Amino acid sequence: MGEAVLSVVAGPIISSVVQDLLGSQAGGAAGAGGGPFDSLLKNFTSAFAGLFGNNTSSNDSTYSQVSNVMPFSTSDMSPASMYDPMAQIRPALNRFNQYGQGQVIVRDHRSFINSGSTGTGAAKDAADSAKLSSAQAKYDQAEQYAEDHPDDQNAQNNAQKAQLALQTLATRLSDENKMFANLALKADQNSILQV
Amino acid sequence: MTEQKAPHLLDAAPGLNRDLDLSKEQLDAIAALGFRFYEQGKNHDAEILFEGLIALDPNLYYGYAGLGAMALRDERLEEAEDHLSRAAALKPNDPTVYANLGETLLRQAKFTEAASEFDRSLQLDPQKRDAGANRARAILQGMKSVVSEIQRVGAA
Repeated sequence: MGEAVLSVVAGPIISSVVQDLLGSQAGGAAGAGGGPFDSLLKNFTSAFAGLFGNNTSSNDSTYSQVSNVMPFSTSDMSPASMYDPMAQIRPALNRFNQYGQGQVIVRDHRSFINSGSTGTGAAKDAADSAKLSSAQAKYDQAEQYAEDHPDDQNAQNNAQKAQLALQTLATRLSDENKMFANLALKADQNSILQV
Repeated sequence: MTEQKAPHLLDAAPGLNRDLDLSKEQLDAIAALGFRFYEQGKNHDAEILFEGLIALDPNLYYGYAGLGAMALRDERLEEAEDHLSRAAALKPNDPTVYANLGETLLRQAKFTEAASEFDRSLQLDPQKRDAGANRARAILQGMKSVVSEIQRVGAA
């Protein structure tokens, strides 16, 4: 029962997988003694022989789930996080608001990146955020040192790394900002509680 | 400026959560909401939450696992492999992540690597309860049927 049901449920997935596999072989060289598909089949059966055993599910109720790609297992999550997530998140939203919703941080940071790339006025354009000020100060140091030591390749590399680190930080601040803004919107709409 | 300072600079970027100090339960709740949005087909919302989770804590695997699943579903396979490999490295005992990584590799005809990831997924779920691992089981069973049919037709 299990094997037959799984084969039927997996039908559309397998069709898609086979199409991908054939696509991956398009224009490829023929395998020894046959075409690309023969070679593909041979390699596949060789790699998967050990898995073609008793691996079907004994629980038919799970079959309906296999048509979807699941993001991750939720088995390690606390029940409260799973069933009433907004109750968990509201304090975090409030806390985020205390940081000025991040928008000011990101805007000022981008301004800093732009000015920082010229090596002038970086510190003066610094954002007020404490978490940025540390990175800015370090970037300032790296930039200044690189300017003072134009023949020092390490210094030039470090200045570049510093700028990359700041750009990464700007992206993450932007992502964090988007996430909380999205959650705040959903909380207002109350739609997030609808399953 | 010395070479030793560069890692500290880069360290300044990750871990924005140290400023917001969210608990594990709160981060789990955000991940659960991302999961729920994804299930509801609200992919843009889900993507925002998964990216936000990475911004908050790059050592948390949920964001990478979520983005990887979305990329796999959309058959953006190289992107899926990158995200799912990160997720697996951060969380080595989630059968769903290994199942998704195995499927991603299978679709790219990387058979040996795919078989290895599927095997890990199945071993992590001996009770056959995990939905992701059961998808892997379904794929294996389906592929076994396809191969058997091809071989039968070929032998005829």
